[in-house]
Amino acid sequence: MSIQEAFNVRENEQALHDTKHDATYNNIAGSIVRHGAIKELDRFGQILANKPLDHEGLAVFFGTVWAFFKDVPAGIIALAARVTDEWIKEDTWNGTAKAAHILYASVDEYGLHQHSKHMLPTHHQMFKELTSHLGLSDADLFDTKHVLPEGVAMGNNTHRMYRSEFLGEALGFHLASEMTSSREFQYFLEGFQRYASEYGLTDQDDPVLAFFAIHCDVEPMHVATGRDILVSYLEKNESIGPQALRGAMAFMDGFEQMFAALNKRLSSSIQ
Amino acid sequence: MSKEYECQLCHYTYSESDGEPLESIEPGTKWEDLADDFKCPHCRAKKKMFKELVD
Repeated sequence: MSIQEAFNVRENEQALHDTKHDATYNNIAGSIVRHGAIKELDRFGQILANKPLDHEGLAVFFGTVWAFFKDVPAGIIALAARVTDEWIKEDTWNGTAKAAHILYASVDEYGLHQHSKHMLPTHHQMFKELTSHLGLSDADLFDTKHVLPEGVAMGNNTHRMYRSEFLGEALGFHLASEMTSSREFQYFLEGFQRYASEYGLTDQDDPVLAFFAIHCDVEPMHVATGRDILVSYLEKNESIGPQALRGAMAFMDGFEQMFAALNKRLSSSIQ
Repeated sequence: MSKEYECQLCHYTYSESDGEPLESIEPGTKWEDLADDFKCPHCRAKKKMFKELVD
């Protein structure tokens, strides 16, 4: 094997099948997708599909989700650091390897996912490019009349859960975040593609939609790595299961409140 | 005979005998009868990311 080939192989990383721990994971994942938050998200998708948002609606939508999204990238990194610190005490040489399952979800956020291209735009930069294209200024996005308190609460919870709650709760919170992302960005992308001309886009593949499109591409893998790290922890300590479920439900409760508030506000704010 | 199909990303398993209530898919629905735009209920991976589970 050559030196280059050594960089291509990473064995024994994926959590193995284990009926007992798979059942615990499936129970948590099933609770996430059965949560009422998914129905609120579905309703939001219908709002985006029905008519284009006007300027006020765009400001409420993007201002509110920004209050939440802004805390996600650093939160993921904080959780990866916690996993490294904890795992390295018991399995010194694999602490970083285990934490990589968390960190993987953040390399896109920071634009580090294509090593050969050095650094690409971060998700926050893509968000800014999209909102600027849509005519939203920073003043629009940060105006308290646009930022719904439920979005602020999600941001605050994200900041706290990733950094300081029980690790099991943080892992469950993270899994729920990734599982909902894989759905919500599909709705966002489809809604803006449907009304491409109304939103001033060249066509459905306008590059400013990259912020939505990239999430649609990467989120299934992020769910997979979120599963792997959770199952790894369950193999180490079964009692983390109830913690993870609590963390996942904390995310889903806040997510439901945020989209219920957006649905209520935006149903009267379409062009 | 009922078959099972596993998502190669997150390991969710679709069982033909169980269907999938989350997606309103009736028990007994065969894999080939699922719509082409079927997605993994857990991670939203596309149908092509599934493989049949063979004992």
